[in-house]
Amino acid sequence: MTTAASSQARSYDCAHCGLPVAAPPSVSDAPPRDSPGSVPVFCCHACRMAFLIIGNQEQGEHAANLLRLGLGALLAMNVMMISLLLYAGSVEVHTVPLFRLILLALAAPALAILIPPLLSGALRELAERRMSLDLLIALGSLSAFSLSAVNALRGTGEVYFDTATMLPVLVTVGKLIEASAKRRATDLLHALEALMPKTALLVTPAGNEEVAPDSLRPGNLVRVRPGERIAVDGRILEGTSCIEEAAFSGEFLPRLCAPGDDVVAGTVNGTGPLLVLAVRTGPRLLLHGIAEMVQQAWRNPSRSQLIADRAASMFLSLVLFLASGTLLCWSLYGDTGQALLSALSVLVVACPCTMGIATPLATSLAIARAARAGIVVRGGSAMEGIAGTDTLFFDKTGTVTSGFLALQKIELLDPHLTEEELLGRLAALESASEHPLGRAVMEKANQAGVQLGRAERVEVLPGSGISGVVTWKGVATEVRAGSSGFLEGEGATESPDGHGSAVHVAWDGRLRGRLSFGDTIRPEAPRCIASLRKQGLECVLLSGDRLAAAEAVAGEIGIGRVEAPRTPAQKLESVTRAMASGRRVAMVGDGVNDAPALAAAQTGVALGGGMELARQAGNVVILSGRLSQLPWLITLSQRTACIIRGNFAWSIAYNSVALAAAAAGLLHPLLAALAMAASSLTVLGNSLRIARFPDDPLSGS
Amino acid sequence: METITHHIRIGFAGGLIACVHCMGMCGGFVLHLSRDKTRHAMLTSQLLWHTGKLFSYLLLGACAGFTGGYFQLFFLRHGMWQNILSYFSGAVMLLMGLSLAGLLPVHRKGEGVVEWMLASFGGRLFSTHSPGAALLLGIVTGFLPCPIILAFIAYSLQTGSVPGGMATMVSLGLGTSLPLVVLGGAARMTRWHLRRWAPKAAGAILILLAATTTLRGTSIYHKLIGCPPKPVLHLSDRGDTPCHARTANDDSGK
Repeated sequence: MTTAASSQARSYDCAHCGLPVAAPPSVSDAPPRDSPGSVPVFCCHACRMAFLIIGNQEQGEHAANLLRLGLGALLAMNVMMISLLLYAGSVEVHTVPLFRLILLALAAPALAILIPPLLSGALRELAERRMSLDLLIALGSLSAFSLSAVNALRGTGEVYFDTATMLPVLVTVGKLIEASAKRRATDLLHALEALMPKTALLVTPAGNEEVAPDSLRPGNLVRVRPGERIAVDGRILEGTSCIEEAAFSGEFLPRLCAPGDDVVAGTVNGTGPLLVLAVRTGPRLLLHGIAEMVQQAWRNPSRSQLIADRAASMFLSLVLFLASGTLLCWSLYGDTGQALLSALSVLVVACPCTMGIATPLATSLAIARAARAGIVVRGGSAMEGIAGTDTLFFDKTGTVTSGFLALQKIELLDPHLTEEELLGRLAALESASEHPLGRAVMEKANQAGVQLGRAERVEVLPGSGISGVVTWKGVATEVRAGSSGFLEGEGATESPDGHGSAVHVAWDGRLRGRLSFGDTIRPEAPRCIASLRKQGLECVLLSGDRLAAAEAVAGEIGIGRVEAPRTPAQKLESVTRAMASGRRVAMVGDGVNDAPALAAAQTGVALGGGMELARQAGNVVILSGRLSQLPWLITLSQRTACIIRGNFAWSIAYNSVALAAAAAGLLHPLLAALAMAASSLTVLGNSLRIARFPDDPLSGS
Repeated sequence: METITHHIRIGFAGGLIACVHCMGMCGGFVLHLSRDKTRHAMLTSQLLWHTGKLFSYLLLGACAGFTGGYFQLFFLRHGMWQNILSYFSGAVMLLMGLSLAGLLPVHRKGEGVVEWMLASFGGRLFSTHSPGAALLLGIVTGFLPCPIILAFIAYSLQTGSVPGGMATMVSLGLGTSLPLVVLGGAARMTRWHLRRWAPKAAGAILILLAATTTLRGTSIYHKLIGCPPKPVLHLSDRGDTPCHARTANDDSGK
């Protein structure tokens, strides 16, 4: 995407439905949206009409348009009723001419009210170089009226006042329905932004002050009362509470948070009051970040959206051609009235809705739906690509494992030694180190309640070990701890079985113990892999770790194929090789050391992390970092693809039957309008099902 | 003309008896419209709302009558069983009654697409206070797929005539409007809409509706008012007219 194109595309959203719209030529030089005096831009005729009639806020113009439509509809309904009475022969024969004049008197104002907005809107669409059949429908309606008016005044021939007046009403209603459906995607997104509280309690030296969340700045202290929504992304300084993040991460169970834990704006505080230090505020909030990324994703049309767009314009040309053919054939046949009605039927019955609206709507809704579960999908093609995935590569550390080392096993190599003494001496030594293994030892010692010794003259040799004099229960010895290489002199050997790292401990020249550390497996990983395999997907573990370690993890979570050890470059090679052999590959990683592979795969899923990571890595970001959302996302994407295919199939079947019937003169224009509305409702309703896609049933457990 | 009077009587009685259901379904609209600031504005919007609803019913009745007539002619021409339409209408009415009484085994999950579309459109109309909005809201309300309306459309269908269908539906509309007009006036006079207990009152009306709806689904209720358990499809001139009216409505549960 070029910068110029993207910056131009970024400037326009439809004023009614909020979906992105390519800048029309007439406004391309106009200032971008939100600037004063900007002209509203619309994505289609439906949104333009809906904006004029219903609008977003109460305005005099809207009120007038509403009254216009109401009166027009009322008149048209009366015309229809009287016409039905005439058709059914329910009036005396000698009064028929009178009734026809009454029809004329009712239809004339009805058309005067209904046609102008339809015409002017359609003309604007044409001026913006978008093809629309509405202009022809409006003209058809007018010609039906003129023909009927002449016949009514002459007292002979057919009258079509009902068609002429009801058609604009039905077309307008159809447009309103379309426009309402389109708004659904942005409604879903706004529901996310509506999670922001209206006010926040700012803590100042002078006391507490109720302020708007927008006025908060990073570094502010915010008091969050029980039951209140949190207004900032920040860290808890005081208080313990359960925080509900369901709307964000799809996780139903509240999370227990204590001082030092991070919280996200828009989540609900449970029972305890909290004092939160703001880290991100205003537009930099994660909440707004998600919304912004979804809007950007909407501007990345998918392949099927592009196909749908092209099909829609071809389809409109076809309909135009068919309508003129129908008009010509029936006129040559000598039936002007039927020619007009049939051509009108063709124009009215054609339903380009699937191509023009339903497909983009399905994709946009799916992206918004995923965002509601805390998954950012960056573009329609990414959304559709997930459905076709057949092979998943998983990174090990930080992806299927938590990425935090824990002390898993302590082996005592000296029969007179107690575990307490070993931990007490080692932890004392490690308290001087910042090494992750050292922290794991400290954590274990704290958990076990071991009394720590006192360490002096501590020396750290990066990459190999640590040594120092430790006094424990009055006995001072020089303790050395580290890798087998570091303690080779004391007889340390490589641990034969462990899949993590091992630390040997020795003092007084003798090996005293061996501690094995391992990465803890994410609790949801086995279930995620099981459910992916149930969907028939192949899972592969790619790890930078030793083969034995990787195989141990793979065995535990149920992955059959392991490739290890792999450098980032080799990971990239594995992914590209799989893609070259025709597989549809998704790479799942934490986005830090597997960025090249994430970028190369058709779908790169980055787990966890903040917005910064999301902007860079992968085209899918699972913000909650929970693997269990992966099968859910794949199902959502498959459902979307299925709905799009269903819509296309329906559209082809409906349009071929309906257009043929209309051209053959078997379909009255009003029935055609109803058929078209029913078809629109079918495909739009089908697409809207995505908005109600259920949450992951496993996420709560 | 006699038959027209007959249809009018049935429709009006149906509307009156259906008032509890209507209050539950459309009472909200009326209370909303009675919130208008001045007495004049309130009267205008109420009037426009009822007009819109009435004309929607009229159009529905005309269309149903026309379609019914078309099919009657079609059946007659093809020597088919003429009563087929009556039985079809009876079945629809029964189905609507059962659906209102909650006796249908099929339960729909969530909102339907049609309801959602109407709601999203109507919701926007709610936020504007203009005569046009009230009129359009009325017209849209008329097309809400309410079981009572569907049952009476089925009735109009089997009248087989446009005037017959229109007469049935317009009198049904008037019948249902009367209690609603009273509700609107009462709301205005008692300033219900300003009271805290207004939502509770609406809830009570709904519970009442639920109770009557459930009660009407039981055979005891039918025995109580002396109706046969199955709807009478055969129309006679006098005698069982009120019973027929009741059957149509009772089955639809109000």
